[in-house]
Parts: sequence; structure tokens; C-alpha cells
Amino acid sequence: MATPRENDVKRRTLMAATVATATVGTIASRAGAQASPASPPAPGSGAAPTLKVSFTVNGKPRDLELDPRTTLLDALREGLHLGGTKKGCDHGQCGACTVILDGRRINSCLTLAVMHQGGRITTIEGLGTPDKLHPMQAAFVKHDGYQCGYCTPGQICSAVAVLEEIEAGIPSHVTADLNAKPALDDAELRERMSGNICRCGAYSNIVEAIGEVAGRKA
Amino acid sequence: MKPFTYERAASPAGAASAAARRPDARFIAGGTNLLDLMKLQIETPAHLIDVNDLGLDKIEPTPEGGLRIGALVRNTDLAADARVRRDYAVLSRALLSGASGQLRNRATTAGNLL
Ligand SMILES: Cc1cc2nc3c(=O)[nH]c(=O)nc-3n(C[C@H](O)[C@H](O)[C@H](O)COP(=O)(O)OP(=O)(O)OC[C@H]3O[C@@H](n4cnc5c(N)ncnc54)[C@H](O)[C@@H]3O)c2cc1C
Ligand code: FES
Ligand code: FES
Repeated sequence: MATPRENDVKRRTLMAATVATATVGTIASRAGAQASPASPPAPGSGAAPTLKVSFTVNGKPRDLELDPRTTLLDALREGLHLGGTKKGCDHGQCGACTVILDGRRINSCLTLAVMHQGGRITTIEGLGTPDKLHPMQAAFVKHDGYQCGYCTPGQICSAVAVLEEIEAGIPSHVTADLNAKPALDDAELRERMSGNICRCGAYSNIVEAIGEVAGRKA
Repeated sequence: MKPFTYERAASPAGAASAAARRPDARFIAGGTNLLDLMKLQIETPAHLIDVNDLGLDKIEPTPEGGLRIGALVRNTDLAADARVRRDYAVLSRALLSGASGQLRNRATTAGNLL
């Protein structure tokens, strides 16, 4: 008899094969499935017709046909089987779903996939690979910037974008002089990362990791 | 979320006439407020009109010496605009004290007000 682990591997292989043979992946919307009891999933009845959308994910063109209710988060996870991006709150509060869209970090749970025709999306899977980590991924490993790891893909996508935002001179709530280049101190990094909640409280190590990538002394 | 149909308006006039045709519709810009409410079924529009292509994302000087802020200017861009930072610092400060970096990158001026 197959062990649970073998079953899991087979299930994943089967899922991958299913995706590979489909020219367009159609996913039923899970919208509402994780929301409050007041919003049960609406199976079949009255569902709006599906819509086609094409965007680039981690450099690869992707075509999907979706229930318009599908969030970008659900399209990535369930339509494209990119499970790195996580669903925490599904309401814009935790940052687990952070991806980089057209060069900017966003909450993928609060946007519809069909709104991003022609968009360029980078997820944690597109930043680095296990063999060739992105410098931010390597720094999180080095500094123990996580415990359970659930918030980590969102933290890392956010952190990469934070350094670009500072570089671009975008101020934050703690920037003392709005007209000067923002500093790279802990207060700035903490404020800018405040949209990423870590239930395990790895915050101080996360700030150290980001600081190192930013070129500060470790 | 309740099922809805979706269209992307190509001009302000097109968006206005689509809304006139469909009283059960809502405009969607960043979506950070509307989708949150739709997930909770506080908002249940049957149709969404995406206004992101309307080109209303500019901050322009007015002849009187002020600034005209487009409905689709993102919170991040408004807060970071050099003229706003210099001459209307309280607006920058107010925007930067709200929500998070990710949300401000999507949230628009009109969505914030409406
Ligand atoms: C976790 C979280 C924290 C937040 N914290 C804060 C905070 O601290 N301070 C704060 O001020 N706000 C906060 N917000 C609210 C946030 O600012 C709004 O969600 C955002 O500004 C809405 O902009 P949007 O473009 O995403 O609007 P949407 O969600 O797209 O739209 C909102 C409403 O405006 C209407 N609308 C949008 N654009 C137009 C248009 N061009 N013409 C006519 N109608 C239009 C829509 O029909 C809808 O009714 C928070 C939101 C979240 C989810
Ligand atoms: S899952 Fe998107 S912010 Fe929590
Ligand atoms: S490492 Fe567990 S939630 Fe952040």
C-alpha cells in the first residue's frame, strides 16, 4: 500500500500532468470558500460566464480562463499551481499573498486575476530557485528570518520591493524629511514591512536579513 | 462573493454610459475596498466596470497654482509626488499613515474618497 507521502507525490504528479495537457487551465472560483459563513461558495447556479486572461508569471506567458470572481491569489495557487504565494487572511491585512505586479508589491488577495491582462507578475518562485537563491532568500536563511515559514514568501517579495521603493525615494510614515532620500535604518525597514504580519514573531531577524541585503553591516 | 460579470471601460464616457446601463454595477479601481466588502457580501454588485484604463492617473498643475489629482492616481504615487511632498506635506503624511505599502500601491485617490 502506498504511504501517505507516496500518495501525495502521485497526486502532485497527476495534477502537474493535468495542467500540462490543458491548453487553457479553467479553475472554478473558490471565492468565498474561506470567507465567513455568510458567504458560502456559490456552486454552478447563476455563476457568470468565464473570461480569458493572459499575463506573464515569472517570465512565462500564461493563459487562463476564469470565473471573474477569481482573485489573482487563487489564480496563481489553484490555476497555475504556484503554491509559494500564501493565503493568510484573504482581506489585505496580513501580506502572506504579496507578489510583485508590474514592478510593485501588492496583496494578490485583493485584486481580480481578470484585471491583469498583459500584466507582469513575480512570485516567490520567480525570485530564485533552491539552487540559486535570490540574495534576499539567502539572507532570510542566514539570519533565521522565519520559524514556520508561512509568511516568508510574502515577507521576501515585500522586502525586495521595499529596497526598490527606498532606492526610488518613496517616503514612509517614519521618514523625517519628506524631501530627502529615505534612510535605511531599522525604523524605516520595520515601518515599510508593517503590511507583512509574522505569527511566529521573526521580525528582528527579518530586519537583519533585509539590512544585510541593503548593504548595511550584518 | 456573489457572481458578477466584468467589463473594462476604455474611456470616461464609456465608463459612465456602462454605469447608466447597469444600475446594479460598481466601478472597480484598486479593488482593495470593494473586493474586501464583496467577499463579506456587504457589497453585492452584479457587474463590475474596471476603470483602470481611463488614463486618469495624472497629477497636473492648475492655472491657479494648485494641483489637479486624477481619480486613478495611486496612494503611493500621490504621497511620493515631489510637488505634493514639498507643497502639500500634510497630504503625503496622511496617505503614508494609512494602510500598508502593498495596499497604497493599488489604492487610488477616488477609491479612497468613495
Ligand atoms: C487592511 C486594510 C487597511 C486599510 N487601512 C486604511 C487606513 O489606515 N487609512 C485609510 O484611509 N484607508 C485604509 N484602507 C482603505 C484603503 O485606503 C482603500 O481600500 C482604498 O483607498 C480604496 O481604493 P481602491 O482604488 O482600491 O478602491 P476600490 O476598492 O476599487 O473602490 C472603492 C469604492 O470607490 C468606488 N470608485 C473607485 N474608483 C472610482 C472612480 N474612479 N469613480 C467613481 N467611483 C469609484 C468603487 O465603486 C467603490 O465603491 C485600508 C484597507 C485595507 C484593506
Ligand atoms: S492573504 Fe492577502 S493580505 Fe492576507
Ligand atoms: S515564520 Fe511563521 S508566520 Fe512568520
